[in-house]
Amino acid sequence: MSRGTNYWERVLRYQASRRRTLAMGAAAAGAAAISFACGSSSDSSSNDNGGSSDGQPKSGGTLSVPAIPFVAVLDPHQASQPNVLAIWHNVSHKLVEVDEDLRITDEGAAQSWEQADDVTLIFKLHDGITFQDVDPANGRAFTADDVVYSLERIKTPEARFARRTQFEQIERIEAVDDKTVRLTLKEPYAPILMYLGSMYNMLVCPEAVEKYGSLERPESNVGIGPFILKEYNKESHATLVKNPNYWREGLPYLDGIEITVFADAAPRHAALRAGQLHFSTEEIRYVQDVLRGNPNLTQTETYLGGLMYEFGMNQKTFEPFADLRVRKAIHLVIDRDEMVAAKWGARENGLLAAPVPPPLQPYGLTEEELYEIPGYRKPKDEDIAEAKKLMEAAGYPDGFKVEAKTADQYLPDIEPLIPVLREHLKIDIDLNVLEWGAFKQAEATGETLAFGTGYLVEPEPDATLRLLHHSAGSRNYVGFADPEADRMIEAQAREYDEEARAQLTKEAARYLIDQVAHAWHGGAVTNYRVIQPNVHGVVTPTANFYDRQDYTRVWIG
Amino acid sequence: MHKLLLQRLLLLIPTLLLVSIAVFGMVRAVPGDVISILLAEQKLAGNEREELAAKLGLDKPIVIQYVDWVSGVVRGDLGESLFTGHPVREDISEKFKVTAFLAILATIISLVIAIPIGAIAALRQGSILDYFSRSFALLGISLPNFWVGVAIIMYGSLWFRYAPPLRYASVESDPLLLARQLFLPALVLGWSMAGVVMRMVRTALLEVLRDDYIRTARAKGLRERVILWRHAMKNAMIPVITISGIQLAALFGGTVVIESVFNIPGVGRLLVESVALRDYPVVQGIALVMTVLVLLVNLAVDISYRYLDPRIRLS
Repeated sequence: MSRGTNYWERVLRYQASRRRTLAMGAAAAGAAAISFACGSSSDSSSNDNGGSSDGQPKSGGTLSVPAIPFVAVLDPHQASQPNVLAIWHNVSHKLVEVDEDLRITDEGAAQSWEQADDVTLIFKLHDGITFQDVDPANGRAFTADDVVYSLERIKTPEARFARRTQFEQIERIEAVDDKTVRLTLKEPYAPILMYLGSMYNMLVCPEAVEKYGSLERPESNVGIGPFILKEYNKESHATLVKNPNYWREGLPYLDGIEITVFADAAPRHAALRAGQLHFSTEEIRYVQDVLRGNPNLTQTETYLGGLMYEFGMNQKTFEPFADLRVRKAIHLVIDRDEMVAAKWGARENGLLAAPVPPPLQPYGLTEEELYEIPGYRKPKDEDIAEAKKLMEAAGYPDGFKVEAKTADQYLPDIEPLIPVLREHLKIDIDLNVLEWGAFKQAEATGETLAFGTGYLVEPEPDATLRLLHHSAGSRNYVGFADPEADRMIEAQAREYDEEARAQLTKEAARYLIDQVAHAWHGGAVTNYRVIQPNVHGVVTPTANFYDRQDYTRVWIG
Repeated sequence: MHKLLLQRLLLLIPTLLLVSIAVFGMVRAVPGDVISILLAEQKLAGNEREELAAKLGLDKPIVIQYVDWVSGVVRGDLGESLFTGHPVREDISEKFKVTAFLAILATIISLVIAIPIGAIAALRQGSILDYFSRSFALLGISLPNFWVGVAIIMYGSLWFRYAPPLRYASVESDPLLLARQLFLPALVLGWSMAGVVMRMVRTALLEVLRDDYIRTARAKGLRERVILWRHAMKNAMIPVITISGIQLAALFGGTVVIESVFNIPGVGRLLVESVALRDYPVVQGIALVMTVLVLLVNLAVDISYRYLDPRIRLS
């Protein structure tokens, strides 16, 4: 998008872009469906946002980028917040990588993969992969045994290994020879490739884990990636330098990366205007402010695609919520357009939320499809009348009072709902705003009757369906338990055919909306990537499910 | 003097003991626990919560946990972060250096601003200079320092494309670069501190200038500059040193907002993050070290009285 556009031009362009997202999603992200075809090529998806791309890539220079505080643990297999990945995405690789259009690529350690049968996957590694030439790996060759080690470590049956459930369906991981890995599944499991490429599932150095006991010390962060971690200070910065022995010839172009931690937006914007940062991803509401100070900056639109916000109704701890009629009444009166506008400043700044996020195509219901469903549809009159009838039938014509909890950061997401529920259903919400840590404890231990919360989900339909909606889901804090829903969620995960699977995920989503497992309302937000004009090769995904901060092919002109 | 020092240092022990009990109890009394945060988005199966608590030593009775911690502290071991496993002493020592550097720089700036302006205001009482300097002081006190900080950052970058140096340097590696990075935040803090100090200098100086010994000095024909700097200022400094000492001590724990605004990795930010994460050993360690620093600053202020006015006996 060019500079100096007025608001309406931006809105029109946004709408065009939103259609583009959904259309592109259908065509491109669909390819992320686990096709089990041979390894896909990775050279078709890069788009250069950094001004002119007509020059030859130039080596040298240090890229300066911002990061939010590294409050999480440094070990990618134990991390629960993605901020440490700015480091790990450059220090190592995963077995396969997921590109900006959610396609599985051979940018990771695997050059190709094939499906021997419904439950067997065979991966061939790239030639000549070596660990970085730092202690304790000292540049040794990377082999299939290292893949087995990393994947087994992710599977460690301990609470801190947060991604262990993603690999629960893996029966065996074996090194057939130095360059071949065989994965045997317990049953057909379509999400496996996307999980192998999931942002946290990095390949790590076994000697480093053995030597340091964990991957918490910066010196233990040794991998097979294009940059070596030289300095790390949790509160201030991380410095990475070029890996001179990187196994992909001629890469990376940069001499290094300087990651600066910003606890606040104001100094980040100032640094961007002053040219001290090469780029940053900013919410739409801040972009014009940032550009005002430095008109040379370019901007590219993207979505933070994995956001989902809900009004949680705990069906185990509060009797009225166990009644589908009450949940449905609440679902029907929610004006989602208003909720999105309240959260992101304007309706066009964000997307709706649903059991599978709309940007995750072809698996999620599109916004157009959602608008046809009661609760999402417009105008609201018919839904509100129906909601009142449901409350009467459930025995709550005069509503009820319920205590709700939320964290301060989720307050803007739930606040607009309170007067709506009071006005239409006479439901009186007594809202307690807790500090984040206190809210997390209340949520995790089920001490909530109702709550307002949000999630950042991975770009895999199984992740949202299973974790949030399955009766055994680890983030199913509402206590939703429905055998039919469980059956549908399990069925989609067994289906390898993309089209058939999309059909199943959409059916499951419609069923979950009908059963009001969660009262989803607002979701993804539009962001802009603001870039200095001399920076090339920064990839900006159309729907950014997580910021894959891999700077292997970035160069400074 | 040495006896006094020893006495005062010994008094630190019961104070620290009380502070340690208060902090240890309070941080655990706050709703929310480290395990829920550590495993942010997971619903744990079976006894996984208990297993993790045992691994972190949080399953023991609270008194035993306290005794374990205090016995570590006595040996110079502040424990390990529950999140990263890093020694707390390592984690906080660098942050304290940054905050101490900022606090001392801000205090110096406040004194450099406040003493001459306060003196001029006292000497020219009722003049335009007096009104101007009092307005300047009032502005420093009234404007929230985070607001001034944000304004400097924002307009500096909008109008001049200037932002403070991005690259963080440690005290040991490049103190000059660190000073450059800390100059603007120190100036902002220094200005707001200078307001109070300037008013104190003015008031104290006006009082001292009316004393008999100043009249005597004038009668002897001493020059006004000598009277001011050699005789009056020294006596006027006692309340100024007291207030500056209190301000300096308060800065050790009170720079968190300005650290965020100027992106400084100081101890204030670490403390806020650690409280949010319920990283008990880090919170306890910071609180303990802050207490020691505040007590030491107060002791230094007390000792300075003796040098400023030998009539004061410290006992």
